Amino acid sequence: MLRTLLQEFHRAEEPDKVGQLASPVILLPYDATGALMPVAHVVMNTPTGITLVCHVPVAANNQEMRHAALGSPVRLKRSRTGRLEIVGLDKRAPGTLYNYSLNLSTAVLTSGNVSALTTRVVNLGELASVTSVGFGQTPLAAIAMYNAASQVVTIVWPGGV
Amino acid sequence: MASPQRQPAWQVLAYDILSSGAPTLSAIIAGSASSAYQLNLTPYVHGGVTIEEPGDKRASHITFTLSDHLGSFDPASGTYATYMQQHQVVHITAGDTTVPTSQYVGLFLGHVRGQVGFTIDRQALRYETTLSCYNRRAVPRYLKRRFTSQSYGNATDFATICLDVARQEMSLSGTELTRFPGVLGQLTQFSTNTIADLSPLEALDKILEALGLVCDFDGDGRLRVYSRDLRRVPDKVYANLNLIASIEHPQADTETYNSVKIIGLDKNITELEQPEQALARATIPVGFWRPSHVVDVWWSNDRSLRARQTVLVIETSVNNGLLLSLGSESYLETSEHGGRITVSIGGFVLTLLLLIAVTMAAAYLIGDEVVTFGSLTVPVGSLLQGLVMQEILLAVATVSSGVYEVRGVPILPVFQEISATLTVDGTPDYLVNQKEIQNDWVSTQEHLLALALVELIFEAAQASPRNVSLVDDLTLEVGDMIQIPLGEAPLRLWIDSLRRTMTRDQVPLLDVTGYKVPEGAF
Repeated sequence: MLRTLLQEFHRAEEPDKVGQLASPVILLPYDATGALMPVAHVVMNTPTGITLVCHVPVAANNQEMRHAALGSPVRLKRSRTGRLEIVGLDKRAPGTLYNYSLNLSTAVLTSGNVSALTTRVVNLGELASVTSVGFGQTPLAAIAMYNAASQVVTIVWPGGV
Repeated sequence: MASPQRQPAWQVLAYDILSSGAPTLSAIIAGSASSAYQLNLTPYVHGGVTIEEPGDKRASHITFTLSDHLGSFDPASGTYATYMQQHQVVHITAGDTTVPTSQYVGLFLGHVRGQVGFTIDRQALRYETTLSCYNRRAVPRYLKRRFTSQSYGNATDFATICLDVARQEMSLSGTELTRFPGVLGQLTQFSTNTIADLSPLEALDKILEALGLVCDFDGDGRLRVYSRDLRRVPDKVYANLNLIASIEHPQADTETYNSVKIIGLDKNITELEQPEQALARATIPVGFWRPSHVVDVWWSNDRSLRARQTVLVIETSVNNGLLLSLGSESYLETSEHGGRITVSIGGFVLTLLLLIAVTMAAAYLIGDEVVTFGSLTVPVGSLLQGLVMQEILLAVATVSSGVYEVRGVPILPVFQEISATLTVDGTPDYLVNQKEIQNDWVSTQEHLLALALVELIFEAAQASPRNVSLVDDLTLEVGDMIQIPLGEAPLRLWIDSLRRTMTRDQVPLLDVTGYKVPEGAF
């Protein structure tokens, strides 16, 4: 019981999380009435790996976020019930995660996958190849997410994810 | 008479460090303190002394009782009341009756904490004083007073920073630091490195954590480090079980970690390229009176924003306003912070001036010849002079302006985290119990992996706690590794905590709680 309480206390005290904008801040109809909410996709380093979290609301009246560019490191706050919100810009961003496993009996170390997600504007040379449909499907200035091997994971803007 | 038999002995010394003229703790540790402020409590110790060394960054502590029928240790009015005050120093050493006490090994040095207990039982004729002392790991200033360090440059050994913290924030010096390594072999990677808003012990622990080390104070009050790396050679190897009293595999229901995740800060600053965007706009006028205009533009007012691949977009050219396209517009990226737009209609103006000069010369050179239009006679010279005037007016009235935009890719310097997870092979996903360590002093992939290996093997070992009782070995400290012959495979034990009880006329036993090193680790 004490340990559980300590863990809860620790979680309550844990600092803000860091992430990286994977899309521009857009206005999304957020409730049944269609009220617009500024949101953005964010890449985060979570216990399960480098993860994309979609449509994270931006804290109210945050002017600096309104003009935050793609790729900007951001700070996030987690509510007690597990909802995230972007509270501002930051200086550090989740980068690359290297996975290894170790056999304790033989001391053999095995390298696993490398996890990283970067988002950037699709350049002209890639426009025809980011989707199987070919040229014309992906608009100019579209934003794509790339994995550690520089392969497109998904188109995050416009639409996508 | 010399004897091969061990004749254990120990002594409890109290030091007055609070009175006027009393020695400093540093002098006591260095052995240069005057004995006038020292009191040997050993004859008064009732029932022995137990030293608890819990390890894991917790302070060692002792509790013992003094008995004296004169009430000398009454903390209020006893003869030795001075020594019974909070913060006075107690030093416990142990050795053998066959050697001088100066050669005894220090087992505990700490401060009296709280109020010293004192009981007078007149029926039992009992005068007892009870003290509780904690070693220097519990000093409030070391634990609580936060500080911000100076800035350290690139390629500074971690030991330099640690020793500065110890000297400046913990007031340690000389002998107190002789057990702290002068070089740790790990260098800072950034051009500025500052410790901000941490207590001294938090700072030391964080820096040392990056190397798999832990700091503590030894039995003589000196700062030391010990390693959590279980792959090293044991500090002590027992050839047989003669000195081992018991070995226990305790039942333990602790959920141990089978995966560690280390999050560090990449030593290379990542230059994040933002989408191409307008960086600067300029409206530049030119005219006869200022035929060339050079304008420096910057990507931000404070000239700190950097950009690459900048290009000039001419939204409105100066040539749009001229009769002829004789203006030139150029752009030069002068730095990552800005560029220079140069607009000139100098050629056009010069051409006009030349034309004026030629026309005027012609007007003066041609005689007063007239041409006739019906009844009108017009002097040719006047025509030419009128033409000159028009040229002059055109030149003077020449004004144009261009609108320009510089576009480019802004660069955002960003600290990128790098992280590594190391999991015990074959662990199903749903059984992964991961420990996360965030340490900005780790800044390369190799360093991440090295630390992850130390931590995972250490955590894996915690699944196999062992309790060993052995004849007291004064050389053993928390963090040491011992090897005990046991069956076919020797038992390697990393010492997590120690407990030794010293009583008179008895060989003390040392209770060791440790973790069995996984066999694959060595």
